This record gives sequence, structure tokens and C-alpha cells, in this order.
Amino acid sequence: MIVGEQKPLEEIMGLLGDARKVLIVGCGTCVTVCFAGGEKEVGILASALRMKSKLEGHSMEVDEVTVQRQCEWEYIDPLQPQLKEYDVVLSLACGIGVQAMNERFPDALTLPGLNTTSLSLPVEQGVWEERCQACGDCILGLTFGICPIARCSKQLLNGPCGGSQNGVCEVDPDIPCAWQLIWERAVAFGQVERLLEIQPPKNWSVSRDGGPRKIVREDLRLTHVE
Amino acid sequence: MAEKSVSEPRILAFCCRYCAYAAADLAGAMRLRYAPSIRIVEVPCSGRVEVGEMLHAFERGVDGLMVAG
Amino acid sequence: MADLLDQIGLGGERVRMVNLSSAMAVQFAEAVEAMTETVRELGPNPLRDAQHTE
Repeated sequence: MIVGEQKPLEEIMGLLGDARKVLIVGCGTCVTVCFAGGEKEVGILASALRMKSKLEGHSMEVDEVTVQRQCEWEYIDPLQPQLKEYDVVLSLACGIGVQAMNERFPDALTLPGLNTTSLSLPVEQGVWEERCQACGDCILGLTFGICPIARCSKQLLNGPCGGSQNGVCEVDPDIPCAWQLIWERAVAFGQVERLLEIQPPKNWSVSRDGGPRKIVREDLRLTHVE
Repeated sequence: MAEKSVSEPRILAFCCRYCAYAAADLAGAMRLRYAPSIRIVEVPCSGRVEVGEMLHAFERGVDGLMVAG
Repeated sequence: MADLLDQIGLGGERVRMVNLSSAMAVQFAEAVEAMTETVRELGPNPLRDAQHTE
């Protein structure tokens, strides 16, 4: 899932500047399940901002709303009538939600209240580990289901490197060596010979190196250009 | 909450029905003396109390807050 | 929670978690006394003053 973390209260106060009336817009999807920008977090932040601004002598009026998905027009369109009442909108969605708001409602300035951090797996309650970098050319089929792009510090395609020590990465002993894990999986499946094949450089043009990516599915579009 | 003298703190306590609330009951039965600053709200479990609710209490002006379970 | 109160500027000492069993009436009374003392030292919730001056 997309995982985000709330910005420090101080930073959010700085972003809001001298706004008097603020609408916090939460999102009911990814950031709700990672406890960063759902209805509950919106309520907590609104309450905190009301109190902090009052204590600092420039009382803010802060209202709350949470939509099911901030990254789809259908879900954010109903917000339009109320937006003009606010000096500024603070989004607790991921970066996509913040941009969706700004694109759809150009007259209202929507600011981010979260840092969108990663595509992560909640390995246990309260712990999210990065598992995917959306590189656009999945190689999990070659690496026994463990991604070296997301999980190897060097993003090696032919690992491990010399920095792999006792199963952990030299960058940080808390990072398991992805290539050690891949090797163990290969051993478990009795297919270590598959790892002897040298992988050529990866096609990074379908990742960020090719510029912003775009998918167009003509079969799904409502209007066709004949 | 009724406004009393400024110096008397107002403390809200969320108390679990089965633990702290029962303890408060017992304290009453035992005629124990303790500060009159406390206002008790019974909850079915202290896990029921949300951060948002605690913040609302502070917004409304409580001076301190106890969650007892 | 305490950390958040610190960030807001109210003081994290204003919130406290207490674990008690139903038989711990004495400890309950002590916890109330201790909390009252802490809060008395911290002074009233500054938001109350802010509300009154508005």
C-alpha cells in the first residue's frame, strides 16, 4: 500500500501561515489503513491545530472532512461547494491526493500534511517495510519473489555484493541483505543454478528515468479517437 | 463543567468499568478522601478511549486527564 | 499523546495512564491526589484563559 507519515505539527503550522479558516481533507483509502490521514487522524490534527493556534495567539477555525478516495474525481467533486469558505485546504492524502485536489479545484490552494514515503508492507502492526519501487519492469519472477530494487541498498541485479555480512546489509544492520534472502529462497526451491545466469542492465526507461509515466488504456476510455 | 475557583484543577478521568471505575466505587464505599478535582467518565474499557476524544477534552478546557484501566 | 500535547504547547504531563484493578481503591485515591498535585503545579489549561479573553 501507499504509506505516508504526518508532517511535524510545527511544519504544518508553518505551511498554513496566517490562514484563519482551514479545511482538513482526509482520505479513506491507503493513508487510513496506515494511520496517517484517515478520519481519526484528521480529527486529531484539527483539534491539535485549533489548540496550538489559539495558544500562539492567532486562533484558526479548522473543519474536517474525509473522502473515500482523494485520488478520484468522483470522490472529491462533492467538496467543491464548500471550498470557497476556506483560506486554505490541508490534505492528509498521499501526494496523488494533494495534486488531485489542486488540479480539480484550481481556485483553492491545497497543501500537504503528510510526507508520502513508500510502497510498503505492514509486516506487523505499526511497522511498514518498503517492498516496491514501482520500477515499471517487475523482476520478482527472477528473484524468487524478493525485490532487490526495493530491498537491496544498491539495487543490484546480480548480488549479493561484498557488503553482505552475516545476512545483513553493510548500510545498516537492521536491513536484511535482499540477495541473501533471494539465495536462501533459491536453495529452498533447489534452483540455485538460475542465479548463475547474469542479468543484463535493467530497462530503467520504464521507471522514472523515462520521465513521468503514463498509462493509456484505449479499451477503458469513454471517448475514442477514431 | 461548572466554573469554580480558578485555582482548583479540573481533571477528567476515563475509567474502565471493570477496573478503575470499580476501584473508584470501592474508594467511595471505604470513605476514602481524595481531591474533588476529578470528574469520572465510565467507559467499557480504557482501550475504548480515542486520542481525538482526549484532545477534545483539552480543547474544552480540562487541566489534566487520566485514563485508568 | 503526551508528545502531541507537548507539540501543541499544553504540556505532556497533563495526561496520565494509570493501571488499577477493581480492588485498588487506595491506589485510585492516591493516583487522583498525585494527578491533582501535578496539574496544580502546571497551572490551569492555558486554553481556558484564551477562551475567556475572547
